[in-house]
Amino acid sequence: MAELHIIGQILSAIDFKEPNSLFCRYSVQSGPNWTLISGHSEGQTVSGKENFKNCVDWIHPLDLHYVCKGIQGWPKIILQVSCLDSIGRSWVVGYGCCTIPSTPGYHTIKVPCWVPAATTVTERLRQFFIGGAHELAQTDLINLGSDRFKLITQSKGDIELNICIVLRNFIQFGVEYK
Amino acid sequence: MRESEVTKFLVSFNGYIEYVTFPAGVFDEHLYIQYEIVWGVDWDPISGLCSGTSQMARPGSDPEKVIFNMPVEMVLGSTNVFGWPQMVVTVRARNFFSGDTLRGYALFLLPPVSGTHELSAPLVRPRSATVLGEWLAWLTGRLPELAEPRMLAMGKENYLLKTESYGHVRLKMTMVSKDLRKLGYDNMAPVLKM
Repeated sequence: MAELHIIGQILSAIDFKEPNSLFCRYSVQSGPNWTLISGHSEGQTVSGKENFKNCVDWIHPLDLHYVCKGIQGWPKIILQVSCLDSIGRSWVVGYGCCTIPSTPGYHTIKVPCWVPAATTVTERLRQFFIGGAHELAQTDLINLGSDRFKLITQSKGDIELNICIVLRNFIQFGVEYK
Repeated sequence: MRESEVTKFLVSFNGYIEYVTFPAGVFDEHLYIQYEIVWGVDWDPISGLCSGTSQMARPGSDPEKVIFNMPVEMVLGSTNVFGWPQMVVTVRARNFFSGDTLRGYALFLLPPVSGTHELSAPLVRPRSATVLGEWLAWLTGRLPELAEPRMLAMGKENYLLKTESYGHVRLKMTMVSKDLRKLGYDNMAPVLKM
């Protein structure tokens, strides 16, 4: 069976412009043809403070080993950025999603993020003074394009990933990736 | 050796930890770095040093940059790409008053693609969890440190460590592999045909 290695790092969050420290939860999702042999498909980074360039450096390592029987459901990485304030409260400040690239070698990926916006004036005032944010009840909306019509969102910064792909025996099974 | 008998590949890393930069200048008398190479379960070191400590260095005419040019040479063998080696670099300072203090940790993924790579990683330092700890760190000039810097390379069980980042480490690394493609692995980016 063909094997896919995803090696890389969740590098940083850029231009979120949050006064609090940020952390990221990630999960790698794939179709039923894919099995994870080793590595963690879910995890959480450290919570970092923004530096003077509006950049939070996480350098969180990723190392996943997948075996696949078919090319349907190529793995995707789903990212959720949250902030942690000085009294220990945390809320979501960004959702993002991207597919894992299919060509071997280095890839630097910038994932643009969005978050459900405050719609009413009272809600906005509350978020400005007290903190907190709307959260998605169904997180599968992050990587699905079907039910997005009623959602009102606000743009946020980017997450930068550095991913290196190593493929094994894909050519032997007739998969053409380059 | 016949082709069917090849089960193990070798990867050689040759390079230098070139320099450390701090964008507001270096105010320490001496800086030094320690590196440690961390790998997964299927990997074995074949030759080379898996950890080391550099010389004591101070900046020259450029006050932001401290050059070490610390050589790193390591050959590792494995049967599985999973657990690819990473390098944890600890930057420390030695001063007359505050003694030996931390300046940050950097984590590099050693290049999985053959060739020469110039890599740069941010320096991350842990922050105190409490206000008293922060105040003590400011007063004594000693920052909180990790008991086991290798935990950064594991990526698991960081329990929401609070960090901040300042400065960069620059690494130049050449990777050469043996029998990696014979085992069916493909790690080379496609060449664009113009």
